[in-house]
Amino acid sequence: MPLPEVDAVVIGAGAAGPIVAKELAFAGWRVVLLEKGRWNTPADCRKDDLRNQRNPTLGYPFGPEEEGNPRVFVDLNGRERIVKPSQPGYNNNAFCVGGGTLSYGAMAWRYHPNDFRMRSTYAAKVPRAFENSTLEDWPISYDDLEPYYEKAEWEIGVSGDVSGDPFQGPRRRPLPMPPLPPTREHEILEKGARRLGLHPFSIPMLRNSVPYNGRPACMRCRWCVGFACEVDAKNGTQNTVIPAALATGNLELRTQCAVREILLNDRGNATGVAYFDRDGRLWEQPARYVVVSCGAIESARLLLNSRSRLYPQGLGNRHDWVGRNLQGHTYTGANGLFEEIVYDDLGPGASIAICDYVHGNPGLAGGAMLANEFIRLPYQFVSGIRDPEAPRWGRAHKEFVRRAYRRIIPVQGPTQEIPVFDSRVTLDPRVRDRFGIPVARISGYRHPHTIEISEYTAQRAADWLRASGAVKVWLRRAGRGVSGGQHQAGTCRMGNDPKTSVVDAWCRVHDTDNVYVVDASVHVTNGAYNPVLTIMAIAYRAGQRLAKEGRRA
Amino acid sequence: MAAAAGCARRPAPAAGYRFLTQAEVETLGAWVDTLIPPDEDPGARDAGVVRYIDLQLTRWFRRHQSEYREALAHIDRWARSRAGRGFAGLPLDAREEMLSLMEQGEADRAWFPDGGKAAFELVLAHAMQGFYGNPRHGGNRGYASWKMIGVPPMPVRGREHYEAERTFPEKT
Repeated sequence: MPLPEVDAVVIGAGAAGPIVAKELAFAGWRVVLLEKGRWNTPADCRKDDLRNQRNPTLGYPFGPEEEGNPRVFVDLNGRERIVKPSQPGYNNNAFCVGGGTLSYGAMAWRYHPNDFRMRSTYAAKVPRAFENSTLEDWPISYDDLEPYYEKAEWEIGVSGDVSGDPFQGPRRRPLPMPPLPPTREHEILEKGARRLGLHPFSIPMLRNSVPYNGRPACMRCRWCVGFACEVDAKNGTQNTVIPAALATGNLELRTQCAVREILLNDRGNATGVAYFDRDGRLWEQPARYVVVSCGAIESARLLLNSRSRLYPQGLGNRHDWVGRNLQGHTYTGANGLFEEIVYDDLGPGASIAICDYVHGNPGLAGGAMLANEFIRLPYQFVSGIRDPEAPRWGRAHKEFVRRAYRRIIPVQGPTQEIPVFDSRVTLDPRVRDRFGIPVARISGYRHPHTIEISEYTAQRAADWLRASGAVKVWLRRAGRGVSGGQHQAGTCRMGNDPKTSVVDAWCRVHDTDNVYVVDASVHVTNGAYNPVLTIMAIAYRAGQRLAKEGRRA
Repeated sequence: MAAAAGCARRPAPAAGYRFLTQAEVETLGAWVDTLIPPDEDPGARDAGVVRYIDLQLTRWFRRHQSEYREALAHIDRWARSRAGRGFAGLPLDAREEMLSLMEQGEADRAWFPDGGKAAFELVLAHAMQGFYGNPRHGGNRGYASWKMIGVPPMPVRGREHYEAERTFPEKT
């Protein structure tokens, strides 16, 4: 049933969509924001070690629901299986208002200027990174994004102190909030880094260290990454741009609405979207502009599910690039066991970083930011961080946990991913979700050079821990399977050539006048940092441009 | 009787439990107490791990019901054939030996066609979850594991952490 036409419909209330919606609503546009998940509040923080967005032992609290939302995962041996959200291979982020930003760790990194020009930086120096890869320059530079990074830092709210990072790109303004006071791990690692001549500093975080924007400071509990913040001190789109946009009266947020397809006319432009509400009723929402912000896996899926006479292989997919280059991050690093107690139970845990190994590593096309890890909850510790030589159970295991839990520091970082054309999202020909919509099928692998880089940065993490006094160090190494998950990116590449990309430098789908993809799907490469601040900056840039150049009713 | 004949008969759960029978509660208690034995701190059984597994077998782990039913019956029969006593009646060393064999896939194949590996890993994962997870799921009773490793329970909202004692006292 068609509803009254609006100026824009934005699909997905995660890190990017609400920013575009806010920019349009502030410019007077009538906007509808559709979100597949629910709207949670700080009261939904259950501090549950076994049910959170980083540990779905008993399921995901912030979506998607376990039943009715399958995907198909194809492993390295070509074996395929239907996976539910909590099962390995699903590559989940979150389905809810705020998306990943409701429950993320909230590191607020700007990418390095070289992250935007990987081909220019490395084509001559490291040719093997370009074999069987789609490593490329972005059509935009760090300088193009700089004002929007700043806007995200101030409008969403970032704390930290990056003045000690000599490797960052130029910035005009400092961060709006100071860092949280250092943890004991921070102090131990800072000494070790200085000993090695490295440049440690306080991680920028989308988290209030002081009251900001009408909300309080972090209470420093250990249930942070994976959880909604109980005191609402973690800054996501759900507690910043969404309420601001709703207050204009120009935005309507509709939750638990699953978009089936983008509706297209004979000229190949969008006329609106068709979606199912929570009762399974099908609606048509006509709109002058459609903005797709569902995350790299679901955005690609939606374009591929939106077919017409002009786009028999899916919207924007004339040259078979939609869904290609799926990439997340390869996290590697090291765990260090210390003689003394290093744990002080002060959240969020992650506190100190170095960017010495982001670029300029000998013979390698990229590197990683390295940081100490968020607080590991006890079950996480026994299931993941445990010394591989320690017994897995019995009297000795209990003794090990008792002694080691507060004496281990994990250091790790997101490796610059070398994109691969065959790591991809397609539509599964058979499996459908609860609404009968074909589901995402994920297949591919990691580029061998990604693994090479990740091995190098893991060794550097080990060095850092040893220099900080660790008496025993063991590495966390990379697997060979395709990466996606919370940092999923790359599936609707931004570029100037419509033959080798899906959207232009302003996130407009090449073949159309009025369809935009605004989220990490457009990332050409995914940087050596957590991607969310870049996602937000791109959203501000695209949203402001659309508000200025677009033609609303 | 004729009407019930087509249905699998479901044994009565032990008093206070949802799925496990009294015999299964005892066998599983001995199993998880072998994985996480009591010492100066509570073991898995006293920390409520059997209750955690029982509860989840009617919720999130429903798909594991038959695996548990089978594994608990079979480890008990294996124990009887080895030592003439049920698993729950064996001393810790004997139970450790049996679980080690399962871990290596070398349990008696009359009872465990895969040598016991799958059942061992399943119960190990669930035992660790129940012992180290949140009390709200029935395990980690009285914050037993968190007290053991020296981390405080959930804070009262608004606790002033900046003023909190920075040095964490060594457990004595």
